[in-house]
Amino acid sequence: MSRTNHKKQIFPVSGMSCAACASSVESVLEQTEGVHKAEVNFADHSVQVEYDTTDEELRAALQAVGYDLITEGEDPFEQQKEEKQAAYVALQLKTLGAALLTLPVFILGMFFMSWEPGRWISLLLSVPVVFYFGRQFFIQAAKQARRAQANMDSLVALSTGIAFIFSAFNTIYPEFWTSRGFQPHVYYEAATVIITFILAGRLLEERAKSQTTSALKKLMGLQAETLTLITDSGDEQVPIDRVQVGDDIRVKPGEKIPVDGRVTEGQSYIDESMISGEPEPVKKGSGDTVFAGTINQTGSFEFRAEKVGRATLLSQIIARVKAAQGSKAPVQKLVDKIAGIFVPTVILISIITFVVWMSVGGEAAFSRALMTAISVLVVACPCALGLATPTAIMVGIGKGAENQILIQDAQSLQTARNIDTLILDKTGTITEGRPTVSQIVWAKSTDANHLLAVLMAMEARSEHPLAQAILRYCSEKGITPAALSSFDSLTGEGITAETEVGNRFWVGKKALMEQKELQLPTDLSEKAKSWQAKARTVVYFGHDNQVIAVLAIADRIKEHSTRAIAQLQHMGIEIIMLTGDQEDTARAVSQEVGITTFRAGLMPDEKAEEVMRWQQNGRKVAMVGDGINDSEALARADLSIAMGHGSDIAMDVADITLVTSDLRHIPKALKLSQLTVRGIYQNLFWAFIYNLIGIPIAAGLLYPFTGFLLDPMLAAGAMALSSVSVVLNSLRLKNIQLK
Amino acid sequence: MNTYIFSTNLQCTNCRSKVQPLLDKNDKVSDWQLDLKHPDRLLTVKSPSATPEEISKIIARAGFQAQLQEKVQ
Repeated sequence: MSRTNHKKQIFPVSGMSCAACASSVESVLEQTEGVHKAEVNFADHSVQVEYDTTDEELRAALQAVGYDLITEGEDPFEQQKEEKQAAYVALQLKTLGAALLTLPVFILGMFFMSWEPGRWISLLLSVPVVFYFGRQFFIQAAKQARRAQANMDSLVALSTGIAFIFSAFNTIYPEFWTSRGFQPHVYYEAATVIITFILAGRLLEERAKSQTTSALKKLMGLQAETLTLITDSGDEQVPIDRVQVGDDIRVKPGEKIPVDGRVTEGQSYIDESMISGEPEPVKKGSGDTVFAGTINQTGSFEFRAEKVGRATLLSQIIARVKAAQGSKAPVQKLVDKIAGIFVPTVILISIITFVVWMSVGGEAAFSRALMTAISVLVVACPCALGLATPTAIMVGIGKGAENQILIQDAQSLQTARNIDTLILDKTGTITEGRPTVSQIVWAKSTDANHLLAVLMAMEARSEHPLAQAILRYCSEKGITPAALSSFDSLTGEGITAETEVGNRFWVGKKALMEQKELQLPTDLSEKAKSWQAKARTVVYFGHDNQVIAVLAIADRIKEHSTRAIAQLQHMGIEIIMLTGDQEDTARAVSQEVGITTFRAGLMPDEKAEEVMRWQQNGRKVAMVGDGINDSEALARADLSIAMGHGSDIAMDVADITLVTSDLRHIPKALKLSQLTVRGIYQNLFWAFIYNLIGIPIAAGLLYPFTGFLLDPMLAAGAMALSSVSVVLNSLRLKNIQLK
Repeated sequence: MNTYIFSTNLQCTNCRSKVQPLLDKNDKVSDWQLDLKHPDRLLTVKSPSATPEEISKIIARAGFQAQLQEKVQ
């Protein structure tokens, strides 16, 4: 066997702890049948193997003695993505080429019909369009035909093929017709325009599809690539695939958590918004679980790996989004279904026409039979049928964009009108998505501005997540921080500071105020109680021996949420709220916006389950969310709607993205969907009405009564008219106002 | 009963854990010991019937080398 036949690949190896292990791995592999050479790089725990057996054999050989080989092979997703990209570029070139050649053919065919050399030029230009750029239609049609089936491709292949062959025949041998008293016409423009247009339609569809896969790419980007392993000989930086369950891992501030596990030492705030959707970083200490893909904010800590590789929550979300995306049906089905009946019917009619004319046509039987048979095929050309859906969709999607509604693809637009259940995520969807100071109440006779300056200075030094909300509030009021002489963070309780003139201040929970024996005025305590009832977070601000202010902090409900929800309920849509937040906050928010059904404390996969539960009850479910944590539920829903300010992933998964995050756009989007789908049905009507009337006339049904035979040129005219009607009807959508 | 002493290239407890199942499972090996502190990492194997070559082969299956130093009794 020649050397060039060997596969040569580098695999990560786990379980090696010394140089002897390394040589052990080498010799085990070299003993394995089919392995020609194995070289271990102990420094990065990998082995380069030259082999012609399978990856699994190598792995089994090493596992037998207690090592492991990570044989992911080539990432199938990566490979798939590359293939798709190549196909897209090829389609782009095809469409461009076809369009460039079609333009002169179209001009010649429309405006210089009687110019003799024009036919030959058209013939030359049409050959590559039909048989090179359009070859996929013929290949597909042939495949369909072999299985005795027909679809849109069959229609395209048949009509363009016949139009081309007929035209070519008339160009090369016009005497055949002139000697029999007919005008030989050519239809190159019909053939080329159909192909160019359908190619362009496919291109638009592909573009929409390729964007959905980039969502996965971003989810995968959350995965850390290396991590700091704590070993007996100190910290070690290792690639992610080397970590095993039970390993101790150190995470520094700003780093991503590499795998799922439980904190063993240290504490920190962790941004889990990608998993939970909640914007406030969560405090984690010994015994708490941490998840892969979340980001460590403030402190350094150690944790023990519990789930690695495909078992992590992040990997599972990725897998589920993949599955959900793959489960969606292509848009073209309806038209294909119609074509499946339409094409064979037309062919049958054409053949019957030919046979009938041959038997009763008298003297010019053959030429009449051929002419009428071709007229039938040309008048039945699928151009208008091909235009019906895409033009309406294009206008509908454009109209949406004007109204800050970005629609991913045709399917989304079609689905939206059937929605009867709308599931809203709370945080970031109904609410602003970040904590905000909603109110401050001061004790009597206090100099609010001066004290705010002190508060601001204290919060500026605090690591607590709510500090950001207070800081924002102060800077919006135009406050500049006061000077402090000392500052202390009382972990878990609050903060304390002294000003330069020796005044002591405290900020924190009620417990801190009680512990420091600060006096709480009754009006402030009443206020605090009423806020707590509404699930606001209450922060106490104390000075010397009394509480001088209470602050209510909450994730504020967006200005238009309540109205949008009322509008949707008025449209007969049931609204449900889901949140990862706690029960009482959820209840307070749902009551305020008028939602009766809600579920709190949900994990990402539970949100998706909730979506499926409604679907199983026969509902058409739309899901509205903004976070990575919603992406699974979004992908699962019949229609997914993402908020513009949300994570890119949510937007990529989503069928519809609302640029301004204003919920009032949702009723607009549903309305737009209704109008567009109605437009599509009208278009299909216009596409077929000409066929229904045109085909019998083309077949010569009127001839026995009036002596009228439809010239193929007139047939082509009728076909063009049906296309024009369809386009005009679609454009009509443009002028409709969305309320 | 023969006792063989081999010098090996095993270095750490991890290496030991790779050969352990192979030696434990083998019917011909009645007892064995590995001294990782010794500069020659001595492996002592007690066996009623196995030849030194057979024992070297067992070690080789885990990818390590063992050379006979001494035969006791």
